[in-house]
Amino acid sequence: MFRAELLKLRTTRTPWIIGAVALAGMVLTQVLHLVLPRTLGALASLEGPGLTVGVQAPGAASDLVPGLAAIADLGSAEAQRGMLDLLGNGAGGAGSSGVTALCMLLLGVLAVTTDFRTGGIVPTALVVPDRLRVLAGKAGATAAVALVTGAALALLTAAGLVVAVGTTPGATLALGAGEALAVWGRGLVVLVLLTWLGLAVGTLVRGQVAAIVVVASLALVEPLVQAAALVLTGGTSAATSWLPLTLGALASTGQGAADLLGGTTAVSAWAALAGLTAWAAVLLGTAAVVFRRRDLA
Amino acid sequence: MTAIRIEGLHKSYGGFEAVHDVGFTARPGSVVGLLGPNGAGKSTTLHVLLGLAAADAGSATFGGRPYADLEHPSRVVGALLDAGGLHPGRTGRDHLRVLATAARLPARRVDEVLDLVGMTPAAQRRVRTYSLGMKQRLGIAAALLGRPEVLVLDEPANGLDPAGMRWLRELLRSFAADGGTVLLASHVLAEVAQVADALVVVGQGRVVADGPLDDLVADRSLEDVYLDVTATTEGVR
Repeated sequence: MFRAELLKLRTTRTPWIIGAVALAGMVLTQVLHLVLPRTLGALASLEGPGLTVGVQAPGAASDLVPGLAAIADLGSAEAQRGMLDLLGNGAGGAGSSGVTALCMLLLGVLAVTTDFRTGGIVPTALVVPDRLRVLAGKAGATAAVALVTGAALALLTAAGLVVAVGTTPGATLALGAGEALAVWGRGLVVLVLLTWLGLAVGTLVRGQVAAIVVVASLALVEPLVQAAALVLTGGTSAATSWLPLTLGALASTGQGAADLLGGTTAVSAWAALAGLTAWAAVLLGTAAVVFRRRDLA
Repeated sequence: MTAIRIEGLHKSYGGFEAVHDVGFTARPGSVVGLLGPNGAGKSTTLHVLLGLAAADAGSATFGGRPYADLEHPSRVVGALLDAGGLHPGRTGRDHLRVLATAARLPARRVDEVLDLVGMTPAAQRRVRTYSLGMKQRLGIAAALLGRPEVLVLDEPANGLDPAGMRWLRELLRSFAADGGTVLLASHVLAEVAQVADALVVVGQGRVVADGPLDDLVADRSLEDVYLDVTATTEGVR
């Protein structure tokens, strides 16, 4: 069933487009990583008596928010870890472009809702009446696509890091091979888990447009909830760190984003990964139970 | 060979009883026509038979086993429902490759069935460029992939041109002559009259006539008989 579902994904354009958008988003993120510190430097050099810009140069950034200096300094481990982030969340996880995460969620959603929309679920279920096998095949196929996309994203991040180190005066690689591999490894697992979240939402909702609206809303609303909680609690509550997309960002690159925003959450990368796995397991398990019981026609 | 047996089938959607105590048998070597007005319960019966919907009561089996319990369903039953569940952006060949892969059938079988239904020249085109008749042929090809013993077809003649209708008729007759079982749901009475050995007529979810075609029709036309037995159940419920 895995091979058949993978063939389904390969023989339509949508997964290729999703992969291309994810890669394009990563290229944009890497360019921003490279350009931002230089832009900040240029702005700082313009600053003089009577002129105050909103963002300060890396050298003075520690006065603004703790951690920003390290993030803007491409020679720092923090910035380099952010560059390797497969989710493309930006420096220290603060950019929140979220393109990769949204692409993976949509991949999962479309893998199942396309079958419902076109009626393709019927011939599939006729060939393989065991619904759990069908869902497992889809989970395996979307995971494979996520891993291949993630591998391509990893190459892009590596290239971005090499360019950053090579073009930044005095910068050297601040991350060991082990840490770089750990960031990529956790990132790949997060990509897979996000496709499974999308798969679960698609299976439960069934309607393609409705399912896309659900995951897009999740991607848009979660940062707002995070910001609101930060303001209301003064950064003392860790509850919103356990929302799925936040867990994905924390699992991929660690505490960077929370620290930058002044939060005091103490969710480690591995705890975040476990939390996201729990989200995926619960939602996919629920989807499996519903998919097994529901009439398909 | 494998017979279809449906006994005491009930199926409701919410408060609407789509099928009420439906029962009939389709024996190997025969073509059984399943007739009825719109909303009579034909498609629901086929969906339950094929494990796509759960029955509230009763049973529907192939050779004594529910569809979900068949070890290699594609090798026992070939089915065409609605438009065949085709993705408009996928080629005809790729549609069959997906199903053959899922059913663990050899890849060469895809080309064999494409040839059998006369779709080889259009196999590399995307489904969105197909006519309705071509989609039906592709759906029938999918049903034949596993060399099944039973065919369950819902309105297979939809969109077929006269040559396609003749081709389908000959295919079904030859399939039954080789010992296969065919259950054919259709609105095209003339088509059913030319190919069926037996009829099951349903109306308002119930079987209103059942038996060999010759016995049911006798010296009348199938249309007269059909309109008589469905007269009290005509119309969409």
